[in-house]
Amino acid sequence: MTWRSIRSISALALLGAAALQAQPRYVRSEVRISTPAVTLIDSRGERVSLAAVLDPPGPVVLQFIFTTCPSVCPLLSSSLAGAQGELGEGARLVSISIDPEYDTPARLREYARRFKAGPRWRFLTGGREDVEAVQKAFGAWRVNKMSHQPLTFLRAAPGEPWVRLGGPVSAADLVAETRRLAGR
Amino acid sequence: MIPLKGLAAALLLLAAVPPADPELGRRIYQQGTAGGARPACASCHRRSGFGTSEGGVYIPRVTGPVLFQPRQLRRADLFRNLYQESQTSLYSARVRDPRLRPAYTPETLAAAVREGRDPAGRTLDPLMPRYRLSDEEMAGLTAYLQGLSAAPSPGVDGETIHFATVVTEGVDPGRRNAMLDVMEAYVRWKNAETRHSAQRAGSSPWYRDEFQGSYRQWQLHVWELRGPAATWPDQLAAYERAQPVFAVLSGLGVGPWRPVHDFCEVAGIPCLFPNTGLPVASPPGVYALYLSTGLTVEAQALARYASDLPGRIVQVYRNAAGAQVPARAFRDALNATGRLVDRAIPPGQALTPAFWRRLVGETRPAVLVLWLDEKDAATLGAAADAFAPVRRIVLAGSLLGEGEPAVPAPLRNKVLLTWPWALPGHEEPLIYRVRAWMRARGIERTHERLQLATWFALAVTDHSLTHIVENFSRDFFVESVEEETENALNPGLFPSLSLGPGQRFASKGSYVVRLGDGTPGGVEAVSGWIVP
Repeated sequence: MTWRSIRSISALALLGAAALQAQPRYVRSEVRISTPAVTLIDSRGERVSLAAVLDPPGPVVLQFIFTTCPSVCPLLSSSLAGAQGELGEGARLVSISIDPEYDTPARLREYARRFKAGPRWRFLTGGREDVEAVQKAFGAWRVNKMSHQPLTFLRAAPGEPWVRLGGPVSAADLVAETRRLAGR
Repeated sequence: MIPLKGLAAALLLLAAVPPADPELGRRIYQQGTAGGARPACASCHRRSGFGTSEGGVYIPRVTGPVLFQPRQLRRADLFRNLYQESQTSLYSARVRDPRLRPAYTPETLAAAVREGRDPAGRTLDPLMPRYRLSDEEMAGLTAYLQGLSAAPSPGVDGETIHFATVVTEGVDPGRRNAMLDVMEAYVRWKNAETRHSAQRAGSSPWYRDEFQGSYRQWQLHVWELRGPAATWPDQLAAYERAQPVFAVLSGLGVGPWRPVHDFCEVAGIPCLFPNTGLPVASPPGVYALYLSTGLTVEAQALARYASDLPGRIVQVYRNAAGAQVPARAFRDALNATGRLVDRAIPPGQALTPAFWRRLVGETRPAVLVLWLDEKDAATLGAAADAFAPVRRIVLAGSLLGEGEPAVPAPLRNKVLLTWPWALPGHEEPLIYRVRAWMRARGIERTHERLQLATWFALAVTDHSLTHIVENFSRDFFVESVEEETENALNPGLFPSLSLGPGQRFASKGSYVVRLGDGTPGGVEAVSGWIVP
C-alpha cells in the first residue's frame, strides 16, 4: 500500500465517519440462531442449560461481557441496568461472560452487584469450549477477547429471529428497541 | 501603601487560583471521583495514559506529551490499531480520522473534561463521560496529566533496552542452564534480526522503516540471589541501582517468590512469568505477572475433585514456608474440613518405612495428599505395603520434576497427580516451531516445560514491545502484555493463556490425572479442566 492510497482511504473514511455521525451509533439487523445445546454455570455456581435460560416464553435481552473489560462492557451493562425496569413484563436479561475462566460465579455476583442487577437478570459463565460455542452461534467469537464487539441481542419470543444491535447502545435505545419488538 | 496593596492583590489572586496537587489528580485519574459515580480515567485510558482499543472503540492517548502538544500524526503509533487487530469498519474509520487539534491548555482541558469539547471545538464521543470537577480537582488532574508517561521508564536508552532475570540460590544447575540457554539464544536471535532490519532502513518490507525509532539491542542481566530470602529485596535493589532494567523476565527460584514480587511492586518494574510454583496468589500486584497461581491452583482444583471422594483425607507436608502454601489452600478450599487431617513434618525428618507405617496406622486415610517433592515422594516405594488400606495417594505434579514420576509399581494404580498443564497429546501448532527454533540453536530439550515457559515470556515481551513502538513506558508495556498473552503465542504448555486488564495469572486451572499404562506422556485425566 502506498502513501497515496492510504491518503485516499483516509479521505474515504473521513467521509464515512461524517456520514455516520448522523446515524444511530449501533447497527440493527435480524439473525436466526438456534440455541446451542450447552450447559453453562450461573452466578450462584449452578449448572444450567442455555436453552432453559433463553427459550422459555417471553422476551429476552442478551449481551456478551467480561468483568475486567475496561470500557465497552461496563457501558453495555449500565445501559441494561438503566433499562431493566422498563423492558416490559416478563422480559429476561442475560449477560454471558466471554472470559469464562476468569469470570467465576463469585466475580459475576460482584459484577451484578456493581450494576444493581434485579432478579430477572442472569449472569452466565462456563467451560471455555461451551462459551466459545455460544459465541460462535451468535457470531460473536474473536480470538482475543479485547477485540470483541459491543453486541446486544433481543428476541420477542422463542422461534422469532433475534434482533442484533452491533455497537454501543444506551438505556433509551434498549427500551425503544424492546418496544419496537413488542409491537411487531 | 502601594506595595501592600499589590501584595493583597497577589494574595487574592493566589486564593483564586487553587494550588495544583498532582497527588489529588492521580487519585482522580486512577480511582475516579469521590462519589465513584463516574468511572476512573484509568479504566479506559489505562494507567499509562496510552489508551486502548477494546470492543471496537478507540480510546485515545492522554499522556502529558500527547495532550499538551498539537495532535501529531504518526502512523507507527497506529500500526497496531490499523493492521494488527481484528476490528470493525466503524473502528477503522475512527482510527483513520486524523482529528487535528491544537495543544491543550489547562482551560481547554477543563472544557474537555467538564463539557466534552476539544480545543478544535469538536464534541467528544458520548462514551467519554462529562465530569463535574471542582477547580481544585481540575488543577490537580491537569498537573497529574502533564507528567503522565512524560519520560521514558528506566532501563532503556537510545541503543539498548535492559532486561534481567532472577535466579535464586539452590536452583538445580540443569534447570538454571535450561532456562538461561533459551533466554540467551532468544536475545542473540532478536538482536541479529534488529541489526538486519536497522541496516535496511528505507527499503525494508512491511513498513519496518516506520519502526526505526523503536529498535533497541536487548541486553540480558542475570541477577543471582544468595543467602536468606529476607535479604533478596536489598540484593535486587542493589542490582537495579547498578543497572536499571526495563523489565524482569522469566526467572527461577527455590521457595516462595514473594521477596521478588515485593521488589517488583515497590520498584514498579514489570516482572513477567517467572518459573515458580509459589507466586503471590493474592492480592494481585500491578507489575508481577504469572503463568499460573502454581501450587495454589493445584490445591484448589484438587479440593474440588476430592470433595466427591469418600472417606478421611490426610494431607502431609514439610513444615516449611513453601509446602504450607498448597496445604493451606487445600484446607481452605475443601468443603469438608471435618474429614481432613493435617500432618506437618519437620524439614529435616527422614521419611522411613517406619514413618509411613505409623502415619497410615495413626491417621487411617482413605485419601492421602502429599505436598512433597521428588526426593520425598521416592521414599514411598520402600513402604509400599504400608499403603494397602489407602485408596488414593495424590501427589502435586509440579513438585515432581519433568521426568516420568518415580512411583513404585504396586502404588501406580492408586496414585493421582495434580496437573496444571495441558494434557499429553494436546499440542498447539506453535510447539513445533519452538522446538525447531531450539534445535536450530543447539538447545537440547532437557526440561521442555521450563524451556517453553521461558520462551513464552520472551516471545510475549517481544510482541508487546513491538506494539508500544518507541513509547518505552513500563505501564504501557504491562497493558500490552495483558493483551498479547492471548494472541496465539501459547506453545501448548497450558490449555490456554490469557490475561486482561488487571488480571495477573494467565492459566487458571488444573487437571487431576492418573498414571496411564503405557499411554504417551504417561498420564490420563480423571477430571475435566478444573477452574476453581
